[in-house]
Amino acid sequence: MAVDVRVPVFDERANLQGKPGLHVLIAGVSGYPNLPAPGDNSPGSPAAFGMRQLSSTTLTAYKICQWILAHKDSFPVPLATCRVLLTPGAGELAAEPSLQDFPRATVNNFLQAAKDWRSDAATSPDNMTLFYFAGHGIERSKGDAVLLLEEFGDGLGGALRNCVDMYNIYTGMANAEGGGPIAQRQVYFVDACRNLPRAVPNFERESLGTTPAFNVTLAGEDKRSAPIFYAAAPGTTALALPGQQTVFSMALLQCLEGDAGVFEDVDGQDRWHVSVYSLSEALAVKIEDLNQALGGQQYYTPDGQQINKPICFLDQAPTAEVVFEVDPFDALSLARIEVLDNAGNTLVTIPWPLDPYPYRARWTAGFCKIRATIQPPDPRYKDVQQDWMLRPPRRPRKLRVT
Amino acid sequence: MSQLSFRTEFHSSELQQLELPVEVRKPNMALVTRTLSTETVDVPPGTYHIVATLPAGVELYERAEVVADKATVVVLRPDPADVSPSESLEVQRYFVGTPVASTLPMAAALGLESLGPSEDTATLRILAGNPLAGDRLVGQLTMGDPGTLLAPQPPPERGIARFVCWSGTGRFVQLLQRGQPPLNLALPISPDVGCTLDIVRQLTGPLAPELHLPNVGADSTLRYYERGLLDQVRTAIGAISFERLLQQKMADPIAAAVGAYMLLRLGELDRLHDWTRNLANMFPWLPDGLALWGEHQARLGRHAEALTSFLQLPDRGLPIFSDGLSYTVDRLRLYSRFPIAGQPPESAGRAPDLLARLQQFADSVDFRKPILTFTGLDPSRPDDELLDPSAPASSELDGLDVLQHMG
Repeated sequence: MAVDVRVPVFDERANLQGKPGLHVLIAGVSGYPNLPAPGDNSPGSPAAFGMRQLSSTTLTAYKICQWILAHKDSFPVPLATCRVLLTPGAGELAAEPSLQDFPRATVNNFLQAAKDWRSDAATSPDNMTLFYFAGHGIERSKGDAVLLLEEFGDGLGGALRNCVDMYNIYTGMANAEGGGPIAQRQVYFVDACRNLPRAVPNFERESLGTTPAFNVTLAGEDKRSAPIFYAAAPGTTALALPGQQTVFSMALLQCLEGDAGVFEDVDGQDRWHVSVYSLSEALAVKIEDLNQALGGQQYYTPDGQQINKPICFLDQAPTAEVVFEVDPFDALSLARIEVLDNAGNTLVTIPWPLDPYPYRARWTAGFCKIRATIQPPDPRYKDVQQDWMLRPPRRPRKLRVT
Repeated sequence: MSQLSFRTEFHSSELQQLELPVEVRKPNMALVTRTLSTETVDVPPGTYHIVATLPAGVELYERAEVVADKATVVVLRPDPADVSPSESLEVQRYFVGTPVASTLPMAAALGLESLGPSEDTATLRILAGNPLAGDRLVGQLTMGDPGTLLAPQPPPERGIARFVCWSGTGRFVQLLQRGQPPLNLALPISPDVGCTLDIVRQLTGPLAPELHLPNVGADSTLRYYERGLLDQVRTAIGAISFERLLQQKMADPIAAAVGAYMLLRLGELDRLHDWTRNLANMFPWLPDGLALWGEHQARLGRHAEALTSFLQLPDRGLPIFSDGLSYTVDRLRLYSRFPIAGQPPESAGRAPDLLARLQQFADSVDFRKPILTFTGLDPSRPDDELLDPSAPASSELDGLDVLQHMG
């Protein structure tokens, strides 16, 4: 039985009684019915452009939804609505049967959900919005991507009829002619490839055939904070662990959990939070870490109007990954490492000699001193003590004892 | 209150000129202020932690004890493990961050001769012409040529070939390497100001071109932007230096364009004043002036003016910076689809045509690079075809031998 797309997964509008809130729209598409299944080597129809179903993007979107619901009080304004559209693949449904309880990410459902999402966003400029798409995508320019919805590849009408484009969504969420002022804090996440399939000829003529999510009425000044975080740079691919989760979402959730944490003033009070700028910086580091761990080569790019605003708050100081080595390596067995607070008290006990090496750990963000004592003394090396600032996501350090 | 100021101890002129974005924090990590290394801040006595990030991501950190009524100078130095091995490598280590392979490929190092076409060849060409006007770009070359000058310089270090590019009619520099797609980079030069091009032998992969602007502030801002270090970008352009650049637009409109792009990206529309219009009007050779003015007007809701500006782009050519192309393409697509109040009727049909032409370039652009970079042996018809490693040498591919000038 089809689930009513007009009913958000989460709806606190009645309780908020018109107060500003966060309005979320999430879409995850994996089980494109007109594309060959993962592992199916048949070429597929010409309308498929050589693409196949995905195995993790719907699960990813679901995990993003779950995270937002679990942290509904961590945003600058309370979570007001959360709309989720999911088209799972067979494997994802088997892993998480509840995915079938969501409206599917069809074109009509997306248009309805986007319309309702926008309507909610336009109730106050103090609202906030969050958009997350996970699925197939096609490049057009730095600031744009074509997002493929469930029916893509059905061979009816224009090749991109069952797609929406990011720039239309982005410009459609600006203040509109004759409309009320819309949420001035917006954040977009596009977790999709941005390459151009070789099978797409004369792409520009095709691109005019995407289905507009919004009828854009150009009006007024655009002063939104509206960053777009693209999982893949134009011309590159976004990667995923099959059947599990996308690389971008893993990095994003690590960042939102604290790896992008900064301690700065928000409305007159110093608070640990994740901001547009801190997320921009930390995402690059985390994705590179995952590239190295998984053997991938993914490059994320930020775009949109990047005015620095808080995205979410942290309950406590986050931890930062520390990585340190002794230079030269020959001194490793002699260098006893201590981590001290500013009063000289031991903060953390470190194995001697360092093990594992390079030594990795997660410590609470803050300032400390790190001391290397050569034991027994050796004329080739010297004791050193350095101040160290630990802040997320990662702080490597090489202690030179010569 | 007491004064806190900063000093760096770099050796290269580029790093010495750099106004470094600095953060001042309290012991509980709360931010006190962001400023530039050339500025002095007033703070109450106490302990402060000073952090500065170099464009390549290297952090400088010092702790400072500020006492009452006494000025404190904090010397910001790299960690001993991050110190550049030589002055000549400071720019590569602290600006660019790409590790340089300072040793030759094994075969060449052993003095061995290749028995077939050598894959380790690289050629540079300067290309002139306006691809948007339908020109087929033609090559111009080196010293003595009346066109754009590409002059080899002494290599700063092994594994790097350096060239200085002086203005003429040249629009692109093309790097040809067998087995790689020909790489075209827009030249960030003006009639009065050139640029530096380094060709770097990386640890793995093909040779990498790195363009450097002579204005160190603009160059570093592009590097911060490329790395997603937006706090540093904002601090750098928050300085008077960038505003002075825009005021001194006759001196360096390329650096001014960088500042304008960054202000647009960070949504600081109020600080743009009339600079984008001046860039568009006072430099009729600068495509980016039109892209900047167009996007600025669009952000202000003046879409008819924006479209008029974008539609003039074919007269000037492709923007030098990739953001300029992206802004233009995105706005033209929007205006092709949705009517603008006050839109001149004659422009209705021109937007889709220009969009189609620009999209051909956008498909081959590496938008990770701030300076317009795209592939194709014929830059007026970009593609991603590789340069055939087995093809015989052709005069069409003649140019400046890069490896001959590499350290």
